[in-house]
Amino acid sequence: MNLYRDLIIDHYQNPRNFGELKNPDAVARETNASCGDMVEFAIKVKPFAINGLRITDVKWRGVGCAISTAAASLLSEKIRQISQIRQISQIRQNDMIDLLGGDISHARIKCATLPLVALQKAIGKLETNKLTNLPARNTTHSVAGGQTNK
Amino acid sequence: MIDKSTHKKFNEIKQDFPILKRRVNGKQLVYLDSAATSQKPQQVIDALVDYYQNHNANIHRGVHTLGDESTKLYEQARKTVADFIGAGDPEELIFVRNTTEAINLVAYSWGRDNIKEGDEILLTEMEHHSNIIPWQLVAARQKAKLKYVNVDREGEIDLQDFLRKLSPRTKIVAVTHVNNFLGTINPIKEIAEIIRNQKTEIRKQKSENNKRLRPSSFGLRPLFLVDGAQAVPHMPVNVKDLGCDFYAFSGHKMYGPMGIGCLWGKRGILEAMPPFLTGGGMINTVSFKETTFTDLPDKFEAGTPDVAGAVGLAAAVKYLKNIGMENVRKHEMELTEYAIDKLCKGLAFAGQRPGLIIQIFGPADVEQRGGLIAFTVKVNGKEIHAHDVAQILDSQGVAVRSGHHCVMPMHTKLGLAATARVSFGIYNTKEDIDKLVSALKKVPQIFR
Repeated sequence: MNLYRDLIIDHYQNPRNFGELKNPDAVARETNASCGDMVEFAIKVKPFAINGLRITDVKWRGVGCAISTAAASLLSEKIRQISQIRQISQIRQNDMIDLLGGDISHARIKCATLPLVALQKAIGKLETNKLTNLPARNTTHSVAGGQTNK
Repeated sequence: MIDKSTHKKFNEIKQDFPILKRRVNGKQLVYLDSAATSQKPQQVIDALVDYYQNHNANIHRGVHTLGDESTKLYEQARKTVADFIGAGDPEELIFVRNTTEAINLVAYSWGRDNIKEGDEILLTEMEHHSNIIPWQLVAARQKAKLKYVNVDREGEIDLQDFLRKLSPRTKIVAVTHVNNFLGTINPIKEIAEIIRNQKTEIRKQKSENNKRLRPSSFGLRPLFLVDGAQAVPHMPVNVKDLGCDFYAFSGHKMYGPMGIGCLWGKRGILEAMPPFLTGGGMINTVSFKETTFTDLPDKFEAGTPDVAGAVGLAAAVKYLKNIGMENVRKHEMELTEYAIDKLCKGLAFAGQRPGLIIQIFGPADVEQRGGLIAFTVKVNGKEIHAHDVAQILDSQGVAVRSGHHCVMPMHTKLGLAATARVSFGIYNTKEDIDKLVSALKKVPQIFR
């Protein structure tokens, strides 16, 4: 069957960058209450060019279906490649579908985008923590505890 | 057991449902999601078409022929449905959109007038969200307390706990007749019997200075609302016999159209309640200052109702009556027993692929459960998410529900995030279950 292609099954069974990140600059969690999925992204950043930030390390953890797990794994690989916060902020739903190899049914879009929402929430925290110019690691160990039921 | 001629009838029922001829993902559709919504027989579809082609007009308004026909059809539909649930008086049957709206009607209209600070609303842990949230809001608004009766791991209401939690402060008890996740058929008559012997204390403010409500006397027993969404389509239901005060159900789960549902309530209680929604069709006189309302059932049916929906629902009731609800129940019990057997024994113990384990929830005895089975799937010890299971089944043309089925608190209590659920209707056959089982064998092929 098409949805459970090798790429997705591989990332589901061997998720990349899975685990805990020591001393992260920002952590954010996103849950999909209706299916019990949870994804938490932790990132480390450092200044890049003028006013820029770059992700230097990323880890994620969570529980979910094959699609959301593979999406988180693929996304974590992707941001290691592109690394610039500004570019990562521009990743959209369609990019997630492409990353998963296309052909995601409407009902599973939420699964595909859950990790992206968590990651972008983490990036948002960097900004609210006024970290856009210079990360101050000792002040940013907060974990997003809130649950958003979308 | 069902006799042979009835068996034959059940094998022919599929022919009445045009959608079941469809192919999905290249496979013949096997529809196992009737608890979410049932499919519609040609007879119901024809009734809708006939209404719009030949009789459509607004009701209770003009004097023209179509208006007259439409009004008659609507009121006939009310009588047909009222008879079906043993209501006797058709005016006690209010047409609403669905079960959710029916429960909201009671929670808002009756609840806001009758539930006071410190009062208690008693629910069970297995309620559908639609029988929790309206009460949560009323409780918060009226500063009342919500209590939940324990449900044990087999999915049955703990009646001892019910007795403990029912108190003189309990103003209303709201319980589902058949649960849509565990499948449990609840002992509604027994619960009604317990409630009948319970008195509610009437509390009044002692004085202007002392605003605290104090018990002053004992009044009526608490009211009893039953959510019948998963019962009316699947077994004989007689509201008088059950001994409840309100009974709520949906048309779309009983082979009728979407957008029509019913609230049955006892006349005296309904008459004492203020209207829920207000507007046209439910007034005697309106001046700029005030309005007098009509009698039952119009008082609760503001605005143009879903006349076609009511007509379609009546057609569905006639269809079900023709089969006989006793037969429907027996047929679905047979399917449930067969499915439990196949899922538990066929796959978990003697399955072709070791490592595929199906865990099912709810009462083990099919006498105690309706025609639905929620389950989780494990492959080599690892749980496969319900959405993935449902998606793989869909690839084989088998439609099942996945998620928490709007019964999130009970899922949480059992430590589950989501389950897959198969639910049966009159059109399902043992062959459908065989197809489900062979589709399930695809799961370990994909998640090796």
